[in-house]
Amino acid sequence: MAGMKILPSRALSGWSLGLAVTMLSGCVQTLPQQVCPPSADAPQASVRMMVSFRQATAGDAPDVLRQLQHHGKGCVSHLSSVSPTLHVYSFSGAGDAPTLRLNLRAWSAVLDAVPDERVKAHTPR
Amino acid sequence: MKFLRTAAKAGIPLALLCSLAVVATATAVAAPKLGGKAQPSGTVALAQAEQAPVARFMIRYKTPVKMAGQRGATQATERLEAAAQVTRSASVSGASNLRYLKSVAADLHVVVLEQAVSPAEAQALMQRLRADAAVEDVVIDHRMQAHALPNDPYLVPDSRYNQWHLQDSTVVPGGINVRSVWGAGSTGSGVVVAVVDGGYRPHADLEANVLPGYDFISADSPSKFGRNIHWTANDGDARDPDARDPGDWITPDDVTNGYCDKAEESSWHGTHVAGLAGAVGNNGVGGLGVAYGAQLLPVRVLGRCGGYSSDILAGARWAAGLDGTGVTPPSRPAKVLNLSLGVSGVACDTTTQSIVDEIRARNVSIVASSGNDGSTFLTMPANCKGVMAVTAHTREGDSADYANVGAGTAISAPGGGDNTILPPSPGNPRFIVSTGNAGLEEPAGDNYMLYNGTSMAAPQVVGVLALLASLRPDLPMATLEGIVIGSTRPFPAGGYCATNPYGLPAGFCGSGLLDAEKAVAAVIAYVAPVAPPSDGGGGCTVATNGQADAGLALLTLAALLMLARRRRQPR
Repeated sequence: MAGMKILPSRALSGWSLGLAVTMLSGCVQTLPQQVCPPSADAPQASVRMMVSFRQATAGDAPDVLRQLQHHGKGCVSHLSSVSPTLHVYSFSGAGDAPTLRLNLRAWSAVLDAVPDERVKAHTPR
Repeated sequence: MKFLRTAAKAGIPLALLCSLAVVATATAVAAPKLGGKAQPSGTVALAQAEQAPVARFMIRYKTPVKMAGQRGATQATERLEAAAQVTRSASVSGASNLRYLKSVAADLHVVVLEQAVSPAEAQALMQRLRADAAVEDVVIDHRMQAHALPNDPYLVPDSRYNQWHLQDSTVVPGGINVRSVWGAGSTGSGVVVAVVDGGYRPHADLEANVLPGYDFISADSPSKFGRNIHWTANDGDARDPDARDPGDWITPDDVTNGYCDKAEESSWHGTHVAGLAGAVGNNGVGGLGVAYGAQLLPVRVLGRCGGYSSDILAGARWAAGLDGTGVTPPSRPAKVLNLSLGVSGVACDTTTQSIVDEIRARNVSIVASSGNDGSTFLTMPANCKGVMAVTAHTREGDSADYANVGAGTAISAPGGGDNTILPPSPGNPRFIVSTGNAGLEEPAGDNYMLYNGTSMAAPQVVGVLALLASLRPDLPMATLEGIVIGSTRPFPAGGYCATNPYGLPAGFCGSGLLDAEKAVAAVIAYVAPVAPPSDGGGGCTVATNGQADAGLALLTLAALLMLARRRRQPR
């Protein structure tokens, strides 16, 4: 401990504030972008879908999310991107995967939509 | 494939023989380019050989004899004609104790002195023989040794945790015959292999081969997990540059989310799989990977209770060097992707197939395990077109009882476990040993773990592909896949795949048992074609495609492979 500097309280507060802002912004960045219909209630059955677009698309663009919400008829969150034309969304309150697929394909920009399957390692556990 | 098989049968001996003819230069020039870590220098080996007494020579004549099968010539007439040439040369050179031994080619004969002479005397004799107008050239028929095998203790067949899957098939029927390939200096050096799995631990027997990877596990659905959207990733964030495995343990509480059946300890699956493909070799520690000179690109896509198709596809695209995932592709993309994972009961959808096609279009191979359901259907993505689907066999070479087989299976590799039909033979372990971690939940110290599964089979195929890609990086990966598939050993008689008790379509277990030695021999025959013996010439013209050193290196490797094989099976 010898020689260790004790930061003045003002500097400490500033540092703490900076840390808090950083952590907060980190949290904001990690949370998926979400668009829900006004009437959507909290937790409903969700379906995770991979949506293929006919052209390169910014998967998390507000316009795209609005269109997906409109056609999917449920709450939508952008989760990740696989390629410029393939993005992953979580839909809740939007029915099951076959229904969603049918609804989403009604949007001309969508080529296809398939369930984002859960995959397991091939080792017996 | 038919062409490859034919080439393998016809080409190897010619390549070998020609390599022997050029051995004096090929060994010294080419051996360092074979890329093996800590391999003895070919120059040193040659220098030692040159100190030994000499008894055998190879004489190339300007006029070839008629080889057996040519224009009515028999083996007897061939020998007589060749022996006459040699007798005449012996007389001209004053070497009365020089005898004809055998022919390598129509114009290349091996001769032997009744008593070995010093290297200086041998040089003098060679000068006199070259003075014969009928003689084109004379070289010493060197005695060559295979390079030393790696010193990893688990490679020893009798060790408690031996890596039986790497052994010669004469010792363990299910082994992949890779030792002779290493002995000849091929280790997969320079090839990047992506392990698309659960990440890795910086294991002492692994880390030196690991490149900076990426964690592609994205957030879980907030509507399902509430604010705990990194439940699968288990590292507190979504995609990030840290591909290390934080553990994938499952508590009883976790089972309620529907992704898991029961509580489990951490598996360290990705670390185990990575070690099978490319754990560090010849370091005197633990075991080693099939391509222990290759570099491993870890791509973390599996977390607690597996992962999502989308993350696997994104990770695979990234590893292959493709843009669009939101992450800058690696500076050195992979040539082979290992996917020891899958989802059962679904066909390959068009979305996944299109990603597979996109990756393959970049000359990258995708190898996937067939699944452990004991069924006759492959899991996805092994069932996608263009994916090399790998089923598993046991020590005895029988199909493992858990291993999925069926239409689309490419090949079988060791996965351990119990036979489907054949009785078990003595010998342990029946599981596959590789790098692991001692942590039951969070990471702890390094250890070695025993697993079985098709997960363990796929990375061995990946390793062999890396060996081939290292030897000839200019060959398309699809060609190398064809060579691996076309150079297998047959399934053992009486086993499940040979007897086909349920009348499944032909090839339901793939082409046969993975064999690294045969694959390397086949790639040598494929990439180093020699001019077929003509009626007049029969010369040993090496087609180098402008890569003379590579050609010579391959020829030398062929010779070393053959010698290694002879050493194991003395005649």
